[in-house]
Amino acid sequence: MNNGKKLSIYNDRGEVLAEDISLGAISPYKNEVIRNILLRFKRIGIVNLKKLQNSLSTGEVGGIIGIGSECKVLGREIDLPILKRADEISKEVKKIIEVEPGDDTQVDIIDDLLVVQLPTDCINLATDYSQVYLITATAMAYALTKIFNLGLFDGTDLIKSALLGRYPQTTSPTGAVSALLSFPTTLEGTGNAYRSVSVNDVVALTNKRTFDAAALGSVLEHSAAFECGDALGPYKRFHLLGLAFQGLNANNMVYELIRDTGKSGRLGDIIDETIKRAFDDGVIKVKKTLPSGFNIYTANDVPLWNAYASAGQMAAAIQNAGISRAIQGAPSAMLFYNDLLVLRTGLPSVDFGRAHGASNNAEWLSHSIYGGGGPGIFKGEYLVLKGSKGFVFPCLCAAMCLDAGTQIFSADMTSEHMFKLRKIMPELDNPVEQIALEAKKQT
Amino acid sequence: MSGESNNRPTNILKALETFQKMYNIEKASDLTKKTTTFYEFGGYKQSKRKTEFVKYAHEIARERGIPGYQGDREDLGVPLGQRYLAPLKLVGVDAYGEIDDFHDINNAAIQQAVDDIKRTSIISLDMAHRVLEQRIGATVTPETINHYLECKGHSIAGGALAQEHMAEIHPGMTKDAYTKLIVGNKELGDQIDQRFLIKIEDEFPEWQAEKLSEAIGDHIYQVSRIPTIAVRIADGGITHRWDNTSTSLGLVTAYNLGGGYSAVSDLVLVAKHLQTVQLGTMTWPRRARAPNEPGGIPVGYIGDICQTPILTEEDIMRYVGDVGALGAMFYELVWFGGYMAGGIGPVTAIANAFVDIGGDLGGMGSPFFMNWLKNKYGGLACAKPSFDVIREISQNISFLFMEGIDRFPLLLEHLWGGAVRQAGIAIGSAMAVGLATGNSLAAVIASTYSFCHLMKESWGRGGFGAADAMEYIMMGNSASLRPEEGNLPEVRGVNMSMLSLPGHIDSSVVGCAAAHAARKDAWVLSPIVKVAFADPNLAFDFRNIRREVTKGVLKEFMPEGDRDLIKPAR
Repeated sequence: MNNGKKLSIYNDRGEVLAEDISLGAISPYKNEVIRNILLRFKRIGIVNLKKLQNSLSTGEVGGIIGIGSECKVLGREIDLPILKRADEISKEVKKIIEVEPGDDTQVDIIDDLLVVQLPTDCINLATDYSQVYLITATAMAYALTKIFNLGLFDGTDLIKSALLGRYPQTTSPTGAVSALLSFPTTLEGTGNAYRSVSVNDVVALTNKRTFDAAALGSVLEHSAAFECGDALGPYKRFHLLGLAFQGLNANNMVYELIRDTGKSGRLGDIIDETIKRAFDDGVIKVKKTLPSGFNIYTANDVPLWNAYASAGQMAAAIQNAGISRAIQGAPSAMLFYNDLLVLRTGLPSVDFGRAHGASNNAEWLSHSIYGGGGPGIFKGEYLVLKGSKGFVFPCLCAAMCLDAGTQIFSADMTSEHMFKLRKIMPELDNPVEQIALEAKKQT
Repeated sequence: MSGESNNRPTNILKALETFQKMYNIEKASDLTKKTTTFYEFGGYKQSKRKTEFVKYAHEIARERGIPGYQGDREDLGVPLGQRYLAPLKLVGVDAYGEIDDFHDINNAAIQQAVDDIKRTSIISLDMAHRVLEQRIGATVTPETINHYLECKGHSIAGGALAQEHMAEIHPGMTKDAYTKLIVGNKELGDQIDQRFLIKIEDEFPEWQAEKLSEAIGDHIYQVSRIPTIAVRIADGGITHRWDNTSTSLGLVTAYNLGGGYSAVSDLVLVAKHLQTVQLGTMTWPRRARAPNEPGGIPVGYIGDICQTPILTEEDIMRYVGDVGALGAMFYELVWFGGYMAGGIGPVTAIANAFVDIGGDLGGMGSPFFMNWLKNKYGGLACAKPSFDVIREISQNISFLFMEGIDRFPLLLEHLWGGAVRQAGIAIGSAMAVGLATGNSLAAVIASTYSFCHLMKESWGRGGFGAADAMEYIMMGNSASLRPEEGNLPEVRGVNMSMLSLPGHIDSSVVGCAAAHAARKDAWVLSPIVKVAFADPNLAFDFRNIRREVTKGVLKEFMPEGDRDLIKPAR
């Protein structure tokens, strides 16, 4: 019987990366690679230099509209060659942010982005991560006033608006400064910040690699579960198993389900295979056989059954999007996977029904006049997916990688800058493998 | 102006005449006296309005068996016999109102002005049209846009679209709900059904219309007014949702789309969320309000919402005065007085805007003042902003104003024990420096400088409540680059913690408007918002703000949002 204590992690070619690792070795508290990924998300502040330069020269600052600008302040425009002097600016920004000269503050120019990584001292001391916006913006403002020798009436207030928008008249910044994590005040609930990354951002950060996106999405979601107090007590193992089986292809289950059922392309086959595997591994057993011969099951290990079921759900989403090369059906595939799984077994579906509901939301709100947008723009902490912590978002990330460009809101459209950030995020280069190898070391 | 005090440009005689009327001089005292005979005014009976209140309250108490308002009880509330209840002289009209008539609950015009702002939603249709054409394969033409506007008009009024047998709303309940378009391209505008168009060239002077049309260009915006009763039942947060859903349904119907497929959700996202202009954003949790509520609206929008036409340079003062009036009633009266303080008390704070003490005593509205600015600096918006300019103008304005006030010691009774006199100085300085420099930052710095230093030199601590606290904080904050401070004055607002108490905010409102008017800018913060309120179908006429409020004082203003159709007649 598989008791879930020892796992093996496989890559997206079905090759084993690390065998017999302990479940605890993939905990965000233990696994150094996962920790580094998470810290990176908390450290990075981004200044869109092109946007900054343009808004300063046009006076288009302070708007809240998503595309374009409804605001334009005349008479205050300033032309600053920011892009031209980006290197000089980045050095000054670094100098301003450093707690100690030579600490691990990092400032990079990547195309038209200035990317700040705050020093560890800032991360350790802070009570939240809003500093990636606020420190980045303020350092940038001081750097610009110094380098361009700006006085009080030379547009310094315009620079402030261009960087942070109307903040704090608005409760979150709306200017040229952004970050990987959404501003804290925009989140629905606390402890959810790692769930504030969109599906498309994950797709772009993992360069559209399906299993990598599943892994990153899963790491973010389950880490949020730890942060907000969900992954404690009985739920600790529940979440770690979910991360392993759904996010990290533990025991090659996701890979094999897709491989073995891909030809038929039927959800029912994935469900059958999932049940068979759980039964064979002793995770579930027959509780009762009805007169018709229909079996009602019970679980020997509920969290492990959930992990198996969640791997099946991942396979269902990938299979659906992979066959059609379109994301649009993935929410429905997950919805009906869960619906049928319950009917087929009498067992709880993924996340005790939560994944079913969240998939239902995702399906409805990506198809109706009441919501809007495709799955690519969904975030875990938003009401669409919020109901299931850890088990729906990663599937959408993986499925979105397989979309062949059917969406208006594709990763290329919404998350262009995220592709660029890969240059400074080495953890996202083969993350499954890096996490697996680190887990092996920990075991 | 120094050295010219003997030829003071203030309208002292005019002011005196006004105050004599206000204070009913035959019965009261000569305002120039140092002593007076108080306690002889008759308590609440000197006021027609309060007498009416007492009578009405007695009937209410009889009907419901619970006493409420008891203005005739000497042991309750303010001992009214101690002071004269001066009526307020309304600016620009030969009329007076009692202070109770300026409470927003007693004034239908003030209510409607706020409702009209709260119920306004603006959406760009650019991305929606792009999705229709590129994702869905529809063709967008002026004809389809006109068809959409008919669908949209039906839906925003509560009619069902694309859904069967839905509950609908009696059109009489939503007769003030409609949608219009704003376009900068005249050729396109000519092809739009004129009933659904805000015609920029008709609503603005030529110089302004040209700039606004150019700024809007080929973009298409729709401006919707959801029914007044909707924001009264919910709040400003319902506005974009009401508008957005009727927009989605309108597009689905006009372009023959199914109600539930993926492309529609893309369309809905751009139409409902990505290109929605909310006038106000939500406020911080302790003062939590939904979008489109007063606390979330930046000060620059007040200057844009005000539609007082500027045909000549002389009109600038009237425009700035009207902006100040709107800002005072919107932020000071409704936001601070209502939302923050719970609705009781601070009506007096708006006195400045309507009584025009600035104009009468400081001479700020006089041709002399404008000429002085022009002669000194070569024209409006010609002075390069600097601390020297701020200091010079603020000193002159403040001293002029203070000398005027000090001539009439009893005037302090009228100015809420003098508490609002400082606001007049701060606003006047902001306005003057804004006009001289065309720079809003210099204007708000002038406000704090005059309030914190110049006025205090003579009068000591001032302001009502903690008004001077705001000004002292803003000394350090106004030009700061720290995240929670500073920023362009146009995008600031009362949701900024240090501005979330009364005082200062009107200086920002007026300073921004004055700076941009002096520069002959066609708008303050947003050309779209400017045009959105140039709408003759609005219930409140933002071209004549003070006249409308006066109609409210005189009970002649007809508001929207009635429930007559769904209730028995009284």
